[in-house]
Amino acid sequence: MDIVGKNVERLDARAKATGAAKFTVDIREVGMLTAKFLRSPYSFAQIVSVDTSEAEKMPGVYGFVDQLDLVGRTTHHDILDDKIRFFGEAVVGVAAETEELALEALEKVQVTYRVLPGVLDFESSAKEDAPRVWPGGNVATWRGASPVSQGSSLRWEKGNTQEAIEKADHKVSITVKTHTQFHGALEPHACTASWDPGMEVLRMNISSQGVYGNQEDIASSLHLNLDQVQVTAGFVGGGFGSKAHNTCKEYLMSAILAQRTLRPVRYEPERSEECITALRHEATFSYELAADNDGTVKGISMKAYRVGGAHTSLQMNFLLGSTEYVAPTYLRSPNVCYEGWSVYTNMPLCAAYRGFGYFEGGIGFAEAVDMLAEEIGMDPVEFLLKNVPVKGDPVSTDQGPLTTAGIRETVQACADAIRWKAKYHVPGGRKLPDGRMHGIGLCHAMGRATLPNFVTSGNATVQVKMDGSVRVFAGISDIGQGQATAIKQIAAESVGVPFDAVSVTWGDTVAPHTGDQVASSTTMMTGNAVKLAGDDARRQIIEVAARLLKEPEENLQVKNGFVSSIADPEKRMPVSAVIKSPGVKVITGNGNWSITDIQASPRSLVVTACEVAVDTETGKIQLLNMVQGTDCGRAICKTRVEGQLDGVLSGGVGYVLSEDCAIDFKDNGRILNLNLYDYKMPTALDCVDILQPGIIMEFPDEVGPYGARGMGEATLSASAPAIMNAVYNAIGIRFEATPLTCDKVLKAIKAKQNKESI
Amino acid sequence: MRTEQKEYIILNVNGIDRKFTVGEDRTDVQPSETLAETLRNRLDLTAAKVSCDKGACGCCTVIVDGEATLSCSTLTVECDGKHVLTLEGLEDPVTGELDPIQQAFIDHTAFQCGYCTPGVIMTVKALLMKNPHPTENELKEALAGNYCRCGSHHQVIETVMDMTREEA
Ligand code: FES
Ligand code: FES
Repeated sequence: MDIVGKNVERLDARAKATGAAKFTVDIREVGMLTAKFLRSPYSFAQIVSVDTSEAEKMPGVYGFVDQLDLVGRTTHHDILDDKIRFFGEAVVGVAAETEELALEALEKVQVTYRVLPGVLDFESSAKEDAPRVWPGGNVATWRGASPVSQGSSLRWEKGNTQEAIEKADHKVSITVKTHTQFHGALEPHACTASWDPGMEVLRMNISSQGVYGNQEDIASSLHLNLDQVQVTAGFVGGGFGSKAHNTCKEYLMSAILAQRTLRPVRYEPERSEECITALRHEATFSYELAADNDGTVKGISMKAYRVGGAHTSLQMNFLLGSTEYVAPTYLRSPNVCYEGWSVYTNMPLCAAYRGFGYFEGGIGFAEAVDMLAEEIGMDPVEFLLKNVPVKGDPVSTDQGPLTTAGIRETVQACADAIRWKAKYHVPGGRKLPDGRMHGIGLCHAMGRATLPNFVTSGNATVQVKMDGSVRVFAGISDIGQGQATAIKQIAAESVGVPFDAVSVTWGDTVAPHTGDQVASSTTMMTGNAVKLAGDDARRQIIEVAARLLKEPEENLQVKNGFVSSIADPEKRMPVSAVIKSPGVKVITGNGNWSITDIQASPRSLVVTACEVAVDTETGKIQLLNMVQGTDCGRAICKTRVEGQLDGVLSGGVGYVLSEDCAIDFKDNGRILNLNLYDYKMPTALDCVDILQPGIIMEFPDEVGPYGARGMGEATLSASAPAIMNAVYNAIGIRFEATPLTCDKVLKAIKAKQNKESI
Repeated sequence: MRTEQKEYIILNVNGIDRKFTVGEDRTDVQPSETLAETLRNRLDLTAAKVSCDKGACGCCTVIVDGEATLSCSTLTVECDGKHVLTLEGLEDPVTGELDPIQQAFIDHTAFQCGYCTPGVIMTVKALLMKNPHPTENELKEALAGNYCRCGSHHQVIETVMDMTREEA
């Protein structure tokens, strides 16, 4: 291969290093108005009336939109009504010449609320007589909101799990509570909207992971044809799931404001607004795991209880991520069952979050695995090596054959890199010279790498132009991991032109549908489509060239911008000459690719091994060493795989050690630290030097383009449990809740000491 | 027509003197206007980003008279007579030649989404102007106020250490 697998320069590198990259927040147009929103002071209320008459008189104030205008329109998979359902939800929007004017105008708006009793956490929502967030009931199901009396959101079983667990030689159980996390993308959920009455097109820029979902929501809500709405997401300043299938109400309202004022409108949330755009909500997971004396897993039972927020959004998918991605997938077991609850609450949206549910679900699971290994008397890594699935094993709910081939090898490589054999000890077994306790942990995490065909297909078009250059159209977003560059590499490789001959149109609904940039699925969904489109274009180039070169098609190849005879490479012509030949002018190749989970189940994989030091005087946990490894089938570009593996230093390590949302459940579920100084994300000072070079294993995936498989989403997910287990190894305390901030750790250490001294 | 004399300030931005009247009209720089707002909204210099708007994230970092400065927390009127350098000012406008830091960021892919990158590069630039061969700790200290949610800290530190070593 000439281009796939090479460490090429990212196509956006210069733009990002010079500031030329225009993110949504950077877009300015002549006559552009600023949109601002009045936000609800209640967690649940009906909007009785909105009076904007005083504000309308202000010069420079152009238009209003409010909740009552949205009744009957759809977003987050819900049909909106006259109620707002969480503290801080947008109630009234205004478009004005400046931000100050917009804010002044909102002060003059009168809203009459009828306050309703709401539910803020799992326990209060899951009661039979609880106030209902939506009329159907508080339990999310695939069929919609359903009453608590109808039972859980989903359940699944293979074999007879309870019986298997009872009969097994060893069993363990644990319940773990995980906390709320901000996504913390540095670019907020911003948008611009402008209605072109001449072309009858609404053009929007959205800081989005999925322009097609936005397009659908906005077109249907505004009663426009799908293609009368063009959504562009060029440069996106991070997303981590929060911008996937998340058509914020503010986007709809900005679009309506643009239509009403006939002026371009921009919306840029402040950080306090951004933080409540989407959350990783708290959840509780219960596990029972059982194995025989030889360490063979016999049964896995999992229960998940999730807070789902005010909207349907992706809460069922997220619950599936918490359950089916973990229990029937992480380890081989003949008997597995899972049951999950996701309940509506009067809290902000439950959005996707890197490690789509399995990040949280995997924490308690890995703790249970660690406990089980200890119970049997087996080294935890040995236990993993014995039980992780291998290629062809049935995984997940559909029990499709796993195509990820190098799980054991990656676990082993990470264990070797951290020198597991030499360093692992019994819990509490090693004191460092400075008095702190040493601990070590290793875990794996697996996510998806495709989306099933009922969710989306990958589509792409490749156009070969007269000068031999190529443009690829594939509407997928690139939120930072470098998908657009991967598309460029794959297109260059499949057509047979130099890397620099290819330009990419990404993040735009004018290009063929690719689905959202989620679930590490871009490499396979869009990548395969681009490869097929490139192959199609190459076939057509050869077809024309065969006539021109008077050579049978099967004797020709396209390489580095030339069509040549395989036998006699001197006999050749440039691709440009083929395209310029009479009757051609352009060659267009198309690609469409889809798959179901039953056909094949490619799973992304990340393994994390780490060492910690725990200070028993202060409760402070310090990471000493961390190894991240992946089997990504084939790295399209190793630098970018390494970059994604390093991503663990923010959302993964931060989740366990420093990040926490302070939620006031007595005051409408108001979050008290909606800013970036009370909410502590790791910086360069915190953990940089502990990270070892990423381990990249390449066991080609039969499903992926050139064997490649995405891995970015899993990058955080093995770190949290690895740290939890390392802390157990250090001090012998099994934590049943996150985060492990100093105060909580110290409290647990003191409690243990007290117990031991009695 | 009004004839009153307006107060004004002059900022040298990326080598060019920019004059602004100060007052309450839309065309005036208001006394409460931040440097970030002036750069982004009046001069279309959008490299410096506003992310937290509260001095916590470093995305808005520019260099004012040689010092790394959070433009979201600096008033424009305070910058009267000062030299402001933004990421756009590092590139030679005629030749397109880049600052070595920019080139190193490109060569090492020291970013993912790139949203924090302008602030990170300007923080590094301010450090290297004073201290061309920082220790790793000095570099980390300097970058302690720059969030990067994609987790590119590691690449950034490696890139800058490599670069300053190469030059040494
Ligand atoms: S925007 Fe200035 S420090 Fe965050
Ligand atoms: S590269 Fe995305 S925030 Fe730093």
